[in-house]
Amino acid sequence: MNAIECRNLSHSFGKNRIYEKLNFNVPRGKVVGLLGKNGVGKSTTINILMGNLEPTSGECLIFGEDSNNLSANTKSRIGLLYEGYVTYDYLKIKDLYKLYEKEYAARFKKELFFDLFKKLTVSENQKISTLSCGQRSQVILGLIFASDPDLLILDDYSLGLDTGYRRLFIDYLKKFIENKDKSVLMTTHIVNDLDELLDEIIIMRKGKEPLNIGYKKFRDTFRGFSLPRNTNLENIDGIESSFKLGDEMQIFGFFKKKPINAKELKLNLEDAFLGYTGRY
Amino acid sequence: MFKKEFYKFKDVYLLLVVLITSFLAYLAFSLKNMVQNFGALDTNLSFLFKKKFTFFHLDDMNLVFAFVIAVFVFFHERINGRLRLSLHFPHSSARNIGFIIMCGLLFVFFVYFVEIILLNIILGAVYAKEIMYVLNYSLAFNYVFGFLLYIFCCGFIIEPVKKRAIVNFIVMLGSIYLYYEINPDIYAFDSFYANDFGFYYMGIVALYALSAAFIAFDNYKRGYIK
Repeated sequence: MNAIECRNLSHSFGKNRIYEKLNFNVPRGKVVGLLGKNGVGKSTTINILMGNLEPTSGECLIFGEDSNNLSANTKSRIGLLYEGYVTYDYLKIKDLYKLYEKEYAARFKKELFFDLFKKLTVSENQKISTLSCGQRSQVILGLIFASDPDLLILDDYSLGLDTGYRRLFIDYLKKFIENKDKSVLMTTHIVNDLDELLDEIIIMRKGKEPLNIGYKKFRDTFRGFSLPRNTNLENIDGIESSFKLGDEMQIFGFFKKKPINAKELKLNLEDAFLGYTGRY
Repeated sequence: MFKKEFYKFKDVYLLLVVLITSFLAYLAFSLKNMVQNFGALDTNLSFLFKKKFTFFHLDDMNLVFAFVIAVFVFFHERINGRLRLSLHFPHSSARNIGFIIMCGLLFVFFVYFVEIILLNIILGAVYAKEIMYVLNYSLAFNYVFGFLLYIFCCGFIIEPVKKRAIVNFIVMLGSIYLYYEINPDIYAFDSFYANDFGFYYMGIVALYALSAAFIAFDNYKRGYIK
């Protein structure tokens, strides 16, 4: 069974069409990365999933319930992180903790929160608004993990975080999903962080069908090659993007065979992502 | 949850309570002076024949109080789209919304409740029962309109559709005008019974304010746009 099912999802803001007939699932126990450049509709999709936006057409189901009308029980099974670590900044840390502890009483695991919190050298009496972005992220993620959700939806968790905090978050996330009973849908612009974490990947592109593929398959089949600058590309099938750099030309795509005179590039996830979506 | 709501307006709440207390104290001292100078009988008679009474803007203060608290309650939900978080707490949407609205309203109600008790102690020691009825009636009307202003704020702060928010704001301004036409300070009454139909008019305003608030939350839920 799927934790999230999106069927024929289309959305427009006025005349501005964001996407059309988007279909994807987040299977239970899997980590799915929702990737794309700015403005392709990642946050819009998350807002639709959380019932804060009604799609122009199509539907989203979370644990089998319409995302626009989730029951209290289903809400308690979802951990949500909004872009920019949105929270009640005017509260003190201890008050925010108490709020989550009370609201998620049946599932709350306080040791998970304090495990993360003790890494911060801040007092529980400090207001959230006085924390740095990294500290604030740890408090919020600690609370989300402590509420022990079955489904985590993370909208750009890396926004404003330095390398140390990002690594800390990834380590905790790996620990959180190690039993393979948690589902995760996440977006980020630091795509290399997701290597070794993802099971599936959805790459959204403006005006094009999104790519929905197993992560391993993507990494195995999506390739990049360097060619002489004046190579005729018309005879090469499967090119998703290309760009010229000095005397060479780089091409990226799902190729059935290696093009003539081509030298294979070693791609990390970010290279592959950019190769698929194309550079600016 | 109570703390989450109270902390939105904690500072301004305490400030406004101090202000209202000061207004009350001023009213009490003025009345005391009047009684000392003219006696309780003359004070009652001057109320009956000259309508010599004013709340010294305590009633205006009550409205400002409800309005400001509502602005703090709803703006804090609007900033960064925090309302999305509040709606995600594991309860029904109606309960989550009801809590946001009712919590602030309860704090306003508490101040009004204490105020009317104190006013009845202060004024009731001087004025006759019939006069107290008129004063309480005017205050009750004032409190009801305070609650309505609170609800109105929801209709233009939470509402994501700009045109609707503007219309709600204009209707609120119209209602304020209507309120002061029906329920001015005592000395400005045409008669003591000028506001007999006031509650009916306010009933219509209440219907509008409540519908606007309900629609605002519904619109927000259906189409949150950054």
